[in-house]
Amino acid sequence: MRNFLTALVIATFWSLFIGCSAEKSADVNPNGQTGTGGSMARFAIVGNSLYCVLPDKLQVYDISKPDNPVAKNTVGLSVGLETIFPYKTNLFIGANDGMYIFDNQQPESPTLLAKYTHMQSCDPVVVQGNYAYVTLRGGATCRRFATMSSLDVVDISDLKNPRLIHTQNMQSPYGLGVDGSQLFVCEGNNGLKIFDITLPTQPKLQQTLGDVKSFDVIPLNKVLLVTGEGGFLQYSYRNEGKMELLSKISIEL
Amino acid sequence: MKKIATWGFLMMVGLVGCHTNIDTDTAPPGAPTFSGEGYRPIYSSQAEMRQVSTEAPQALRKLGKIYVRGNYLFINEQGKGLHLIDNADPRAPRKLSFIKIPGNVDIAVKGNLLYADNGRDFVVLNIADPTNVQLVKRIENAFPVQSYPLSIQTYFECVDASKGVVVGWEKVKMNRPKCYR
Repeated sequence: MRNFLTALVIATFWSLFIGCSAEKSADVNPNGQTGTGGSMARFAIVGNSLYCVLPDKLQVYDISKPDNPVAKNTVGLSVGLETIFPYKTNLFIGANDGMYIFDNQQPESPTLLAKYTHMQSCDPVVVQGNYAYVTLRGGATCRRFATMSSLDVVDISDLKNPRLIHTQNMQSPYGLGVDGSQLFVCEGNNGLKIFDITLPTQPKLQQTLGDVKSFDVIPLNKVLLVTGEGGFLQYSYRNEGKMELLSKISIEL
Repeated sequence: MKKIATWGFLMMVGLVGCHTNIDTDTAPPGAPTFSGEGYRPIYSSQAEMRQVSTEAPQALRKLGKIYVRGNYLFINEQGKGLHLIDNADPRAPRKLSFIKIPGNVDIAVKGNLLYADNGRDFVVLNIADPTNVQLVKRIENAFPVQSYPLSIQTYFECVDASKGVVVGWEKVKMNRPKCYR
């Protein structure tokens, strides 16, 4: 009986381990040939394709000859395109009026699967597993007919039918980043917020670094890179719920 | 009749002051009153615009987006270029150089090649030696004209192409400008 329990425990941990590493391998390899951008990025590279998000279309460049990009397909979309986030075999494009999901199994010719529509706003997106996290920034400069800002969680398990499953109010969100059970949201002059997303459907505010004026973040190998009016900061987020400042390069005016 | 009404509306909006050629961005009814601050285009000559070069490390001022490739870190200085940083030790990041790319907002890197927007142009730079970055390719006019600032519901000075190319926008005190979106 004891042996059986031991085996069960080992098997459980092993499957967890496999599960986690499978999740991780979906991320763009930071030590590979291609780099990693944040959620605010308009450029992205997948294989031999480079994507540029223009205001009203997605432009694909063939970079199979890396020093000689050749303009290939363009995919015309509505105006107000802002960001691109490649994940697994999909592209997620944040726009003024929603989020576009593309099938990207053929990187040179992405095809539109679905559009998730919301109120007009500025809205970068990041994806992990079956969930997309989108920030919607309201106010005079972004959201034409609404003043509210929010963090939305969209279930994308059916890519052709994205569904909003959670929304909560934010102050002035910009870029965001996700890694494992932690979600990092830049709140501009209102600081940096860290959410526990152990339950992706219920992001729980874990910590607010109120004095970290933040615009864009990249979580990579347990180090969070942050830029904003407060300068460039790096935090270790290895110990969940406890951000440890590693370094800071201040702004000089 | 409906068509005439639409045209009439568009013309009225035109008279009121929306000079952008993007008619989907016409000022909505109930636009806020001008606050005294608006956006002014920052101009550069075509020749200046295309001067991409490697400079000594510079102070961080108005930061944009971040990009990571291996131990290298690229931090955008809004509209000016990139701080190239050696981040092998995140406790002690080291500035290597400043890559001057006028009008730069976005980049992506593969291998030793860096792809960037340089105003309206798309450029490819070889960064094998971070202190001596080389221009490999320039695709002219790959990106649309920046005829308006990114924010909406804002007043701004209309772009005057005779003054050069727009490399960015600054928010400054001004008399009420003619353009609005």
